[in-house]
Amino acid sequence: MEDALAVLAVVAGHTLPEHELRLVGAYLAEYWREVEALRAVALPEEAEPVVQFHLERWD
Amino acid sequence: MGLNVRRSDWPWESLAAAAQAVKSREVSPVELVRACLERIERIDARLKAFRAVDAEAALDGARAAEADILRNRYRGPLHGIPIALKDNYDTRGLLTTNGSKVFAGRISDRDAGAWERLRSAGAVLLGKLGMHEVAWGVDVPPTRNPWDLRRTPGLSSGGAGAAVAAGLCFAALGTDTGGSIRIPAACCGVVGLKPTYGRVSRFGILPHSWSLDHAGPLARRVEDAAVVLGVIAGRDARDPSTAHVDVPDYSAGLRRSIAGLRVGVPSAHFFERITPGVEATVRAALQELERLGARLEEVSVPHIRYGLAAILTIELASAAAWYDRYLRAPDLRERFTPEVRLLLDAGRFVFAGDFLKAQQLRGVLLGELRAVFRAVDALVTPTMPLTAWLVDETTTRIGDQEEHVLHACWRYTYPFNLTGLPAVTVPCGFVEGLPVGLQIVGRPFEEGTILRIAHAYESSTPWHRMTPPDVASDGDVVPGEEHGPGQHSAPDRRPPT
Repeated sequence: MEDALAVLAVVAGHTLPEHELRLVGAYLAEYWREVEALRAVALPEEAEPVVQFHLERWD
Repeated sequence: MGLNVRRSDWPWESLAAAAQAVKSREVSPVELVRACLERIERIDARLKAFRAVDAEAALDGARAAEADILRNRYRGPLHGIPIALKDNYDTRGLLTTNGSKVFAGRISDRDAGAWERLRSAGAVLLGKLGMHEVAWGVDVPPTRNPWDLRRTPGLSSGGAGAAVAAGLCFAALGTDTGGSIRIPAACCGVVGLKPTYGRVSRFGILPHSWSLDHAGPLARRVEDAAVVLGVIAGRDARDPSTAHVDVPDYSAGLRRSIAGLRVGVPSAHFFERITPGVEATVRAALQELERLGARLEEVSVPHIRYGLAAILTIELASAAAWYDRYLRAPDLRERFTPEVRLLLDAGRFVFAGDFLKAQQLRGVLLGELRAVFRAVDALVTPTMPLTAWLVDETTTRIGDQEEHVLHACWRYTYPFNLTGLPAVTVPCGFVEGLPVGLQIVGRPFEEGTILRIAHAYESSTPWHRMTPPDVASDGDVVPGEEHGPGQHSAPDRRPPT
């Protein structure tokens, strides 16, 4: 996990001291376990992401 | 102005009753502010609800309000009323630290939109309230729960919940990203309202997660929350999420009967993994709603089980994006507590695909809730599956499952941050001397309906009249002290334990 994170960190331009990287890794492992359920669920194909931003008239 | 009520009793009055007394010149705003300041002085050393109190400015504001009222320039029900703000609302000339050393000494040159509206309505600011660092519920701030000083006041608007419950102010504004208005309100036995996303301006509030953050009031009575919402609601061009939707008179409809209203009860998720005492208390509240004429119906929101992953994803990524500049500055980065810094760092590793799927789930949940709301006028759930936990407690066991208290406490509230629907919590009883909250959820911009149901419930039950044991400045808990505010309210009672 730490190695994978170290690679990700370099890619993301976000280098962290090793001990902090380990803590982040431990948290992410927990978070990704939760996210796995979301990844696994087949949402309706027509469901679009909600983008909660709207514009008003410009005149 | 005359004074027929003891000064020490005023902080226990409802905002609406105090407003009526101010309007009729029975009491001066100066007396109200002094009463709150005296109470803060007496007990807040133990409660630690306030982060900063500006007594001089508050008294100046009260004197100005008094002068206006004596010149027949009464502005409405918040004129001269002492209130307080969570420490993430910008206030010109007063510290706004967002609960973090990163913002230590920060004095803004602007007022948050919601505070601007309260100030224009004549409200008097007592000070800023304690909160979790950057509104993230991982550290343990010093604020304590007035019902039991060993316990937390709830999530990040904990200072607001504690201050309102302990009679230190008449109302407070908090923010709610996953439950941080409703959870402290439930923990402290007061009313907390998260309005519809886009109902109240977030301008000038330090963000946590743009699309999840909501601003709203905490108060001791439903009517008081309705009064405050009526002032702070509305379009603000500086917050693009605010909607062009008319603001009704929320107070006017409160006393209408709820007979015939259809109330949905979503048992799946919302009555699962709940402590027996809280479940029994909330089920009794449902029976009371039925007795008042509401028609209860079982409803289902199937995809809600995936909500936790969605809100974590959006919250982590959004907070990491906004706080990026602080994380990148070495001197500021070190000022975050390690726990919050960890979460902000973790947010940089959220995958875009997961983020978009989380947003996709929001659309699915909105569709399911929209279908549910074709058949019902409101949903009713517990606000939390447990009561206020000990400050050093990190895990809790509900049934046969042990989990982090922070995961447990927001299980029933975060679905309505994901979907933006309005939700209010109202006290509905006690378990072992600790308050329990009933959550009522409505269609977008139908705060009037949920406030009406909450008011009907409040009016038929005694819970709102119960006050926490007093916390004297020497730390002694003084049980059973009468806080009866004389002619306006029924005598206060301690809750059953």
